[in-house]
Amino acid sequence: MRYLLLAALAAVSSVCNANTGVAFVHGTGKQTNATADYWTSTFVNNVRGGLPNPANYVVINCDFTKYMWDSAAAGCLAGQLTTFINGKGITRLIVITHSNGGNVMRWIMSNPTWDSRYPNIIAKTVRVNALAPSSAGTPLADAVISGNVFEGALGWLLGYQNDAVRMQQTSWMASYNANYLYGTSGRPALPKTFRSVVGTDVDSAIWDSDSYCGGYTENVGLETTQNWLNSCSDGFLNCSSQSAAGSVWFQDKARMRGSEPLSHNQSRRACFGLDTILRTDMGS
Amino acid sequence: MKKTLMSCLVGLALATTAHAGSLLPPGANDQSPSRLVAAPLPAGDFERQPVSFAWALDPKAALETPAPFVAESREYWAVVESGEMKAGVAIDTTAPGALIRISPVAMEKSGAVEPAELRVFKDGRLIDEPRSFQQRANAKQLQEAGMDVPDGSAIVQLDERLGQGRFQLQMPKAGGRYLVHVYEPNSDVVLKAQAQRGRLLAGDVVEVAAQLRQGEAKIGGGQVEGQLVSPSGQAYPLVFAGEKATAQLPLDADPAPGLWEVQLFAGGQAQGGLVQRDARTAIEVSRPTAKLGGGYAFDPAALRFSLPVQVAAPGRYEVRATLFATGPSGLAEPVAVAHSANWLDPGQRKLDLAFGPDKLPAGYGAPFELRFLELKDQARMGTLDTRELALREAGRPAPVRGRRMER
Repeated sequence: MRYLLLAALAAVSSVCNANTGVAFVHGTGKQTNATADYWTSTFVNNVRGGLPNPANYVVINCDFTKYMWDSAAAGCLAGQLTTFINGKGITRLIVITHSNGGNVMRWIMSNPTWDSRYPNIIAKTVRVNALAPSSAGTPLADAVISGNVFEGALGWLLGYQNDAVRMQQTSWMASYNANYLYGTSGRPALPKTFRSVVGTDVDSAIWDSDSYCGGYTENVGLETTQNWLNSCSDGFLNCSSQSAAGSVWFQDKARMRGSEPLSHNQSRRACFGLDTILRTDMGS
Repeated sequence: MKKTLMSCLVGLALATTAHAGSLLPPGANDQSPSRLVAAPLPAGDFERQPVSFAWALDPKAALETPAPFVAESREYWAVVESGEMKAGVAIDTTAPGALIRISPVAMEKSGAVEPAELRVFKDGRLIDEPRSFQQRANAKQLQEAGMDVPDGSAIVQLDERLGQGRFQLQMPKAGGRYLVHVYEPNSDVVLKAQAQRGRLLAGDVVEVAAQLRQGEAKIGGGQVEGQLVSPSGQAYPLVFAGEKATAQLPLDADPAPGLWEVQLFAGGQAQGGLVQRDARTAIEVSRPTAKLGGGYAFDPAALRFSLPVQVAAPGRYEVRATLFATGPSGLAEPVAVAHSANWLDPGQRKLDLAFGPDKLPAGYGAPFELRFLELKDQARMGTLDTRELALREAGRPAPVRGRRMER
């Protein structure tokens, strides 16, 4: 009993003495102001408010239209995380990723020798809270890419899609998971905790005010895209993809207010108490 | 007493003396270059510093080489001219509720497709608006949902109450050409594709299994064609023999980043009508710029392996592997992963893979095994040489005190 108490005290002490920071890592796309254009300031401010020092945060702005290993993607992320860690003296880094941002962070954690900045980032990282990560890709990427390659008359580059979409095709992610990334079934674990929040459904009824969180029109599109997906999906990703790497922290309905589901757009917004759960997590 | 002292001394010698050996030969799932190529460096900034990293694993984790991906398709694509779109393009379906995406090939010629402009006929009769489509979305709505369709695209879903069979989809104001994509989520007609190996070396032969089935039954008169496509779009024909297809990879493989794709196009006569399916799967193709030298040296005190590497092209090379140690149960279990990379010029070089004794859990020790050893070319993104089981080492004779297990 005494040992347990000592261990608990030691754990609390290490957290109290640490300088904890949080990084918000966006998904596919090229961001220059991800606070406003991707996350919303309400979400970012609510989450960072749970830190002992709420000023210890960084919102990443990189070009995630590129392959995850590209200098504009993982290289840019490594640069901004390193600047943040060094500039703020961060000793405990919590990373919050959304969608493809989870893949870029997983690239860094799985390929520590690719870049001499990676080991220190991994060493400082205590966990990654991966919101709806596209760890096994999505059939929607297959659907939009395929049309451009099946018909020779169209030519290979006509309707060219960005590399990040190409990379998130299911067979491509299977290859990268098997050869370059860790944390999926049968593969070695990642060096640090990678836990996902899984969106399981889309609520887009026009009469239901819950549909409006995150934008109603966005959820209308999700209702159509869900036809490419399994019955358990967030409208962009199957639950199986969101759960493919690391461990599942929780599924939306288990923790969201009113057991609401989180669509793919809602899992990066202050919807149904997600921001409050993440805020609470900043203190542990 | 004498005997105990002697075995203790032998054990101590084993524990502190580095010794050398040969890697085990490649197994059935491994690849190893038979010749090397001096491929040029691609453009870009690459790390030049040596970097090593290792981390501990839960010994109870079950590790295995993943099987190659199995692609399953319930969809097909076709290019349709405006004349056909105006008259009504035939859409053959094998199940109710097909989704149809229409994308203009050139927006400036065709303009955007709006779902409200689309009309559907069955058996020559126009289906009235409320009963025609159960879902419709334009490009903006789809893009906001994360489906990165080309601008001007639209998707409609046939009302499930209309059943299956042949429909005509009409767009009276069509202009230019369109890509029509038909997806049948409820169909039991599936084209499956699986490469025999998920990664290959330039110069190897790709082998793919292709099966067009309705449930468990073969499709009557089913035909499959296909091609192998490099990351920048160079196509190589696949040669079919029954339900297998093969293609020879060129030795001077396309250096563009990304994966190669096997693309299959199938058609046949299913119950209820004609059926088409297109499927793809991805494989990694690497140019053999270096290989493992075949030997190793092991320092048991540091849990470090030194691995000779034969390099043909300058670049940044990495070795990575999982260390298995013998636990209290007497079984070899995974205890740590280590990576090591450095810039290497052509010639006989080496990379050191250090796990560190602190990664060894308490109660775990020799014999050791090095598994899932891989040599990678980081500059050209390639997996060059692999061993599912690279070596077995007696190492330390008895379990040693190590890290505490985190449960």
